[in-house]
Amino acid sequence: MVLDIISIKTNKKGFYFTFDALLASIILIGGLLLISQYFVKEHPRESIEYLSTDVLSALSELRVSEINSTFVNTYLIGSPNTNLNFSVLEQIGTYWATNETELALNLSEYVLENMFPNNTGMNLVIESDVLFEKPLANASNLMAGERMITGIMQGAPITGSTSSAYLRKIEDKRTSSFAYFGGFVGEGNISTFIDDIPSDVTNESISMVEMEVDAASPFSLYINNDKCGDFTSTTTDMTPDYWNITSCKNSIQSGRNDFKIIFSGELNESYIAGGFIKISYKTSQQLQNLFVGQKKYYFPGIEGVANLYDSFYIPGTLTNMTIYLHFDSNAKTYLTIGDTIVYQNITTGETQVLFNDTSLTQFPINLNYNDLSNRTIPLRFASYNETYTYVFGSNADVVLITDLSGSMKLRMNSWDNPGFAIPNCKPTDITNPKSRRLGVAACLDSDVNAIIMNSSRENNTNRLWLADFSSDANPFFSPNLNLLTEENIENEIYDRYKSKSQQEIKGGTCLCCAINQAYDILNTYSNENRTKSVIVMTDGVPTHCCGLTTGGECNETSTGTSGYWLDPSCTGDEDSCEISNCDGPINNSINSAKRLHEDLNATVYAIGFGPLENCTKANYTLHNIAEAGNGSVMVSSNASVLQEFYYNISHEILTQVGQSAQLVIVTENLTSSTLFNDSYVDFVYNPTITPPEPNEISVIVQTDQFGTCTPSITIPGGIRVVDAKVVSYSDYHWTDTLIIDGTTVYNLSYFSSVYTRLGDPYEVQVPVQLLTNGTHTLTIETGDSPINRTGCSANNSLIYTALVPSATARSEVVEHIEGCEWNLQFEDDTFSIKPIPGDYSGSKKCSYTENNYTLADGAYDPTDAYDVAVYNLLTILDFDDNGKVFVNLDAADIEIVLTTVSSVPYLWGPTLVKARVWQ
Amino acid sequence: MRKRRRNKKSQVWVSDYTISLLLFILAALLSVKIIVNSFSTNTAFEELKTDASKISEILLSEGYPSDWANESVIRPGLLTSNRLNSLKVESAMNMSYSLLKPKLQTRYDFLVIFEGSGNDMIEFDEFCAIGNPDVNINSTGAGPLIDCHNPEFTSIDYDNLVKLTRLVIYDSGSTSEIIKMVIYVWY
Repeated sequence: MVLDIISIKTNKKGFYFTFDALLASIILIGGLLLISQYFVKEHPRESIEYLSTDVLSALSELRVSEINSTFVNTYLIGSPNTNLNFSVLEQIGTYWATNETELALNLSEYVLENMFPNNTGMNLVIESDVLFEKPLANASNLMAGERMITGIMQGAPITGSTSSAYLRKIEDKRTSSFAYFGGFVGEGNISTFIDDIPSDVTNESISMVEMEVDAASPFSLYINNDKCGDFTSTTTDMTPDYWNITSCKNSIQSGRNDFKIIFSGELNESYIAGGFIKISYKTSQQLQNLFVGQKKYYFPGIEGVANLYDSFYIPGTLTNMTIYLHFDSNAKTYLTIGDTIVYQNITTGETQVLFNDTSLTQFPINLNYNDLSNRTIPLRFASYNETYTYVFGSNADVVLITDLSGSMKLRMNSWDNPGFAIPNCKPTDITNPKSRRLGVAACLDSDVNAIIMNSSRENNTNRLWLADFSSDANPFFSPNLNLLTEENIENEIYDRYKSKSQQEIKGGTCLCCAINQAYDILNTYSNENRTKSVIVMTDGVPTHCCGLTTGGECNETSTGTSGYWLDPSCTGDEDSCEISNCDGPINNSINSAKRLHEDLNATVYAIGFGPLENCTKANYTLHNIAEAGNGSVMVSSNASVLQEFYYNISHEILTQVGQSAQLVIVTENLTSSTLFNDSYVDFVYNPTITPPEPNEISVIVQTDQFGTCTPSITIPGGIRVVDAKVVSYSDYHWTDTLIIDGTTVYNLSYFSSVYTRLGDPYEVQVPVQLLTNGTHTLTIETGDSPINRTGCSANNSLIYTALVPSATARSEVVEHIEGCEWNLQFEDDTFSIKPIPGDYSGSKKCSYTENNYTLADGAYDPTDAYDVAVYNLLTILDFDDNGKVFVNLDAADIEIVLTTVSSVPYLWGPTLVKARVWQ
Repeated sequence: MRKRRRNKKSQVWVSDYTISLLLFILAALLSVKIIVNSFSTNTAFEELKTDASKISEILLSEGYPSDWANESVIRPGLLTSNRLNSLKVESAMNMSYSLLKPKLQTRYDFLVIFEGSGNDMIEFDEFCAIGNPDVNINSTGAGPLIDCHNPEFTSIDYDNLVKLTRLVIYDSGSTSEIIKMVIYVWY
């Protein structure tokens, strides 16, 4: 027990001692800490946070030229990659990139040595290559800075060349001047001129003189009164001949050049139906461009019978026009612009006429400038005495139908009272309202006969058949064509109509019977080379049908010549004017007229005699017959009006036939007339064409000859068409239709359906907005009237001015800049070998041809800046990517120009340069 | 007897206990303070670093106005076209320390010297350093021929001192070189 007590005491003492020691230790440690806190000074702390960035900034700022020249000259200057203008960092990077690592190490060592505190390590690294290092082990604090260097890549060149190419009109520009001949220029000797040959053009600078014309007979060409040669047309109608007359270039001079064409044949064959004379030459002068707002059309000179069919085009909104005419004639002279007769007079001797803008726009001319703007305007000038002319190729076939139904015995102005006969056709009798309708009709038939079958005309091959009807069609006069003379027909008119007694005039009105008979006549005796006309005369509502259906009703499309009277209430007199009982015969008549026109291309004229103005059914019948037959109609009880109408349609038939061509044949007592070629039409307009952009250049492109009337043409992508025209050889017919993709852009009948009054264009302008990039279908046609078509020339073509992109972007930087000899193939399959640049004389061959035009083919050197730029430009000019350059550089007077920049740093990288500093 | 021994023991216990308790409390307080200080940022040192950085940024600028003189200076930058301008450096070295201090936006003492690649101080005319004139800088010669050596900070009393080294291009006549600008800041 005692031992236990002692033991307990001992443990208690130990516990207190340990506790004391702990306290003492804490006090001691705390004291030491306090002492160190307050009595021991800290060593200065050094910050390195800026060193890495400072190093890079300083190396980027310090130029090689600024550092010690001795060092540079000793160690660096021998390297071709040393550039004193570089910053030290760029120079180090350049040495590194060009595998001159030793120089990079030397330079960085020289610049950075001893720059850093002793307790600091540092290295300079490009990518993974250490170019400077100050070692220090046991880094605990690392600061890094980075900077990018562009334009270097290890093992790659530092600088190269870049180039761009553009098209430029060469200073010694090759261009052409034209003298165009219109659609028909005649008849006689022709003169024209070109007055825009620049003053610096000499015989040596003229490269070619060409002539392409559709002439009707042999002729001699004189240039400035020097005979160039004799030429004979060898082609058929609407086909031009081409002659290279460069041998005559010595006759050509700068300024104005006069061309005279002297025909050796008959005056009737002395004409040109379209064409041009072209002079190609070199000049340094700038020529007129497309985008001015004033033009002047000069008339050709004509000595003989001035008979001109031409046109001009106003490429914008017309604002002012002046016309000057200079001619010498004693005959009737007229000028037509569009369908407006601007001038018409019979003069004596040499005459000059000037129309200013005011006179052209006021009464009586009243030209509408809006109608003329942006159009191809036909122009017609003629000066000859019509007494001495007759129309070429009288080939009219006419059926003259006269109503012999019972109502024809009535007076002109009455439904009830019979009229009196007028067998002698005295004018007073004809206009007398009491005259018998048939009598008036017979007299007017005689007038038609006298006009159509005029025996005084030579070569009159017109034919006129008499057809009449009542309840059926009567036998016509005559199936014997030899009997179809003016005299015989007149006799037949007398026998059939004028001598009829009142009792003989009877029966119904089978109008369709007569029209169907006219169909049979023309179908039997006429042909496609002859124009066909039918004059249908009646005095009332049709009463008879020409055939029956199987049900016994009126067959409204029947084609017989015998009549069927199906409805007794359809009498054809005044009672039938408002009822529908005659609708069958009416429709049968209209359908017969329609058949005539559609099957035989015949024109059907309709004439209503008597008091029909208020007769609805009669008017309906006649108007629809005329409409179906593409003719005209007159309904009247006034014999004077009817007589004038007969006269007019007779002449219209004659006009369609006789002046179905532009040629006037002079037969006797020639009255000569002269048109001087100083006559002009001057017009001012606001152009609608957008001028070329700075990066566009204009080239003139002519398509291949169409060979068809409905050609397809392709406007390549990447170009902009600013002017386009179809040139059409029409011989003595009229170019009257041009359709682009279904849009009619030129329709001569817009001006008039009587073409003889209108001009005939050789150049038909095409609205450029229709010629978008891609394929277009054209329809080009000629005709002598809207219904008399004459086809087209296979030699027509499209000539357009295109703006093509003229420059490439600068090429990528490549190593070399030498050039190459290029073999170029153009769309016209011609080739040209061109050194580019022009002074290249090396042996390298490049190609842009159908067989070799890609890099894969080895067409060019992709490391040559010249070649890359040229190839890029040629690619732009090869719109359809077929290896053929769209623009013939030789023909289009343009050349490729290169602009080059050398010593261009590559855009390698960026390459990272790192500066690391640590302690 | 038992009673006396019991009383003596009781007196010793009370005095020992009292003294040791006081010491313990004191030691505990000190320990806590030290521990706390060890794990907390030395704010004074950070301020010194910040001021050193700020001073270096001001000095490594063109200053304002860019062609400043002692009378007109607002911001005493030493560079022209990214290179050390000797005239500006001389002006700064020649400025009154009390005027320069607020221009460099610091309340601490500082000294700026320039060293070449061999750690030799670069002299500017007759001057060796910018800043506190109390720091003894060993030098030989005088006037334009002065040859400066390293500063001796034993000549001043400081608690904390920060040294910041910057690199700058110095146009020394026909050539240019990269030199060190060393900034000392202390309190």
